[in-house]
Amino acid sequence: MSVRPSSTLREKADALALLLSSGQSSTIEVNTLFEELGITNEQMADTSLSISDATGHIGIYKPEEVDGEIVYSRDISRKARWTYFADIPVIPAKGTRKRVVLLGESVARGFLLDPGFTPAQVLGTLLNGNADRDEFEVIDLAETNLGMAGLKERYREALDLEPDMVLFLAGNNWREDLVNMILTDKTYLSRVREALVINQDISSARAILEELFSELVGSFLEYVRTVGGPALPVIFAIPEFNLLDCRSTPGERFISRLPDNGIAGWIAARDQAEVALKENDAQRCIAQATGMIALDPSHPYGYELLADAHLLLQEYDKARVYLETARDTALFCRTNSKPRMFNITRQTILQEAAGHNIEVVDIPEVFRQHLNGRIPGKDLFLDYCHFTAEGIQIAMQAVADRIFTLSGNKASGKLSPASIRPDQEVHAMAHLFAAIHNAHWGQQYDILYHHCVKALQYSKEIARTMIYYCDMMNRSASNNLCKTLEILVTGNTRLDRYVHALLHPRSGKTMEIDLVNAMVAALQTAGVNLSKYVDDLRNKEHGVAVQAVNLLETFYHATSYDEYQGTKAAFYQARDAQSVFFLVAAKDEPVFFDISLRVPGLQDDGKIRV
Amino acid sequence: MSLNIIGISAFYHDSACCILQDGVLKAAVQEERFSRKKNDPDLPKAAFNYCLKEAGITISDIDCIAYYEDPVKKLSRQLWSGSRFVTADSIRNTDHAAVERQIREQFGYDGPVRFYEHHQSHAASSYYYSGYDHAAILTVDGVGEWATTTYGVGKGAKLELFEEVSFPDSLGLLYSTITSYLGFSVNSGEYKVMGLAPYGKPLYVDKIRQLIRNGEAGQYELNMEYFDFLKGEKMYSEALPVLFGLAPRKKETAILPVHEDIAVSLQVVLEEILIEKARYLHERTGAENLCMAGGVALNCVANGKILKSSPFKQLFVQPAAGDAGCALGAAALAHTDLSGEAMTSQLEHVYLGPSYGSTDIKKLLSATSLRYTQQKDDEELVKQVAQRLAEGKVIGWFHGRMEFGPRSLGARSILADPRGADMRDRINAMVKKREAFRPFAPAVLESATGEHFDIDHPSPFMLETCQVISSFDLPAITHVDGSARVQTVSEKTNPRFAALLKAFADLTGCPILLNTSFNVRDEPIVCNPEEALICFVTTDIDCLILEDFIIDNENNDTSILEMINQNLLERPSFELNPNVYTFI
Repeated sequence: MSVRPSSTLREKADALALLLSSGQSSTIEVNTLFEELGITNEQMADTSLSISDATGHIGIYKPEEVDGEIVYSRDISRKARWTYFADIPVIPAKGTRKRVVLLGESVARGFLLDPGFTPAQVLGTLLNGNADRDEFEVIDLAETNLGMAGLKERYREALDLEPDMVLFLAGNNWREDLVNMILTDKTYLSRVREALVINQDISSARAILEELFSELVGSFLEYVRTVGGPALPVIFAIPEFNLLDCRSTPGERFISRLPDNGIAGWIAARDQAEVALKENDAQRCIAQATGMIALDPSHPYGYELLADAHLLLQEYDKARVYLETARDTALFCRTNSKPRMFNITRQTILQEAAGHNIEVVDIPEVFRQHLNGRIPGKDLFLDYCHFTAEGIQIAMQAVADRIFTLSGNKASGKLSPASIRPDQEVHAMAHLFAAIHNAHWGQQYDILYHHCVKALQYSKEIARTMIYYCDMMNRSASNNLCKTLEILVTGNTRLDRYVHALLHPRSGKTMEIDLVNAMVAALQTAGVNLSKYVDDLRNKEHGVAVQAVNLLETFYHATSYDEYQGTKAAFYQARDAQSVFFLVAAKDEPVFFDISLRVPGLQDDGKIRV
Repeated sequence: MSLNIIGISAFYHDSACCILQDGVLKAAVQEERFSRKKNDPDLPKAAFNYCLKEAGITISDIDCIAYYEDPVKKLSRQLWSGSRFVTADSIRNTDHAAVERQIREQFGYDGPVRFYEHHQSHAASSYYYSGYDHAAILTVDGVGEWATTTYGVGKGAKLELFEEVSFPDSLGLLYSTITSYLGFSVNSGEYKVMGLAPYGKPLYVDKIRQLIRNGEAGQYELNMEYFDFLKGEKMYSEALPVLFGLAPRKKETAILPVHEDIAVSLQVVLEEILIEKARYLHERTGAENLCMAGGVALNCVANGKILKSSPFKQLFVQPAAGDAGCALGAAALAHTDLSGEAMTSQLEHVYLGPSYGSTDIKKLLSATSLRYTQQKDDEELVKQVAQRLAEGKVIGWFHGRMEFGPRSLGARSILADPRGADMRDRINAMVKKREAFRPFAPAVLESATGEHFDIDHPSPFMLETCQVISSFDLPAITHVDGSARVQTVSEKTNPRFAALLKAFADLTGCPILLNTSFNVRDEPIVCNPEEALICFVTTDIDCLILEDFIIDNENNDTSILEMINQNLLERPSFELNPNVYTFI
């Protein structure tokens, strides 16, 4: 029977509320009041029933009996997730061929080349083209966006396919699992909080985060062996990151809150490092970038500048170390960074896999050898971690070699990986969407232009798609209402998997100036002159002579989908000494501004320049 | 120098922002309309920026931000009632100064912030906008800080609440509990229960009376044996189904006669209590006028009965009677405190949101593949729309400043001919996908109201029900008991909508249109032209009128646009817990 609490406790509740609101949370008086109100730290057990999902599904596939055999067909009730998986309607029953099950994330999907050209397809072709003894089938269960928890579940499910071997190509999405592990464990949370928040000691925070990450990865390896049984051959292919040609995003570059006058010092060092780099003065750049890192070891940009300086000096090994360190600052969760393989993850797998009888193909090392020690970049990567066709070829060759060794096959070498290529249209589309994806994640003009040119090199037909894209992005109307999007969607069914790239976040459309300019420049090389059309459209849609524009709108200040990802304010919050806005106006046209701004703590002699 | 006051409600559900400039309400809007998250509770940043823009000021011109609730008192009630979801540590680790901190940080605001109590804000949202110089005030909702019902009086600038009923005794929570028991969502399904009631017979009145004991003066008490909301997980205890001899109805399952009977029995008891309390209030205050607010004041059936059955001569219900309307009340209280004066202007309409000009709309339409025409002549425009309505077409009508509050009142409306036998089913199938038992509501030319509806005063906000007495057969807007929830439309407050009604009357003799909100189920009402277009292409609305622009479905193939907007758009979501009131 439910009863109401005693009315005499109301005064105690009032008193406790006042104390808590005044900032007192742990005094004797507060603790006593908690006790008297019966508020403890015990939570009642969750009595809601947990639903067990023992449906026999493997991801989107459900078991069906066909001619006395169990096959797995795509489940229509899970259609919303089909595009995250391979475009394979049915997984046949186990036959006589050696069955290799591929599990992984978007890298294993061959994101951007998928479904026309995938790691599973390349691997299958290499295996069957070169094996001297067995025939192979590669069952592609790679799934975009899969994290560690999901990977474990998929692995467990996939054992019903009776694999002769399991191949993992994964690890880029595991930061989320690390965060969950920390947040759900009081001890871990307290340790990280103490280091990061209370002591503000980045070095010890890094050590703790890496220790916990290593523990998590180690537990995954153990899980794999335990669940798969002692005899199942397992290969773990460690992914690599686009070290040379993927740089920190605007969201990753926001300036940290630093003690004392750290922010001013950091900005000064950064500005000087950039000038030095422009002037090809590597040593000066190194000095300034080192200063940046001393002030803020959690920020990626100092390391990137150091790397660029060492590249100038052709000191590739040092540059690589700094690029890896820059990449790994994502461990501090400054923002929602893109997927990546962290050094600690790689090292843990390399050190501990053998202890669980798990074979390792170290793709970073494979790429290093392929490049004769040079740093991997846009030749092997379409974006931050997804391989180009060449990247897939090289990675899968290494995996195939290991499979041959484990299975007792000899590689005949009849079929070279370079001979397994995507068709021109697939290639063109991959590079076009790579340009779009890189733009959305704040990469520089050069990379965008590179991919646009590549796209046109593979297929001139892609020019049409670029033209429609340029039109759509210059319109102030949301893409989902633009006629050019309708044309793009109906004109090419290969867009199915990537159509979301053509849709921006709500109220988050940008002009994508760099990307549109890159497309215009690339089209120029193919004899298509879109400059005037784009200029006229920009003027019509955004020109300040035609209409007043609100600089708070993302059109006029955002350069990517990865701006600052903390709590959004009602105003534009400057996170650097300089904020950049975009206007469309004729060269000599006067422009009027109406700006309200506030600078807390501005010195008397502080200046604001527009 | 103007006195500029911002009023805010936020952080629990239905956040909103308004601006008073020298005591005149310049703008008010719910955040959900911008964010597209239904019942959005977040600090209303987009709404705030809109209010500044509409008032032509910047943040530095704000004299005060008024917040609608006392966070300390609310925390006290939360601590007292306890919840299985919070522990001592989680309470310690919560930032209890978060409200003011977030207002300052997220608005970038340095000036004064004033806090007013929840029911005080409700009371002010009604009294100060009523135009009355003297009125009794009754506020009834689920719960604010501690109060669930308050009794007050307003005289000139002075507003005084002299009695309250305290949590957990709450008419709003009684209604929400039965709403949940009948298989509808708490906080959003209550008016469905109100709509179900006319179908039933009051066979369970005695059972309902066991749930609540009427008390002396303004008091009443819930029989907590039947309620379980204190722990924050569900509304009713196991004793409630035993009382009714019926298992709780599962959502989306068939509605049986017994459910209808319970609904009407609840309505009967609610009305009994409200009428008695209204009489008490009249005795205490001697006022001729009654002002009401709070979520229970959205029960327009009860409102009509209160006016008829109590000594009050006039009733004003705040159109946004729920928590969004508290923003108006808080702002009015701050205005009175700072200026020493009452607000003088009556709330004559609620067209307080953004409007969009033809240039922007044309730019939008020219980016799409849609064929459209522009008709700049107002008279010709309404004639053409009236013609389409008379042909049985369903019109998406987008004109002028958006309404504030839960009702669409001819600014963001779906309109149709109310005379068709199948119009209710058609609109349900095309657009709304609502439960079949819920009728739509009519808009009628104010000058013609008396001929068609048994109501002798304007009802511009759709907050009263009355009997349909029209010679026209109006099945789409007439409830099973012959009642309708009417909007009277005046030329003064919405000239174009009035002109449309007149044009329709000229064509058909009928000055009434079916008027329902311009949105699809589970989404907020549309705010800007893009959202109107999305709603248009993803439903079977026959024609969209975007200010001067006419877009006919039959002239367009919207199948691809529909596919894109139906399947590929990410829809922001915030879910009110459908099973229990938002106590935390």
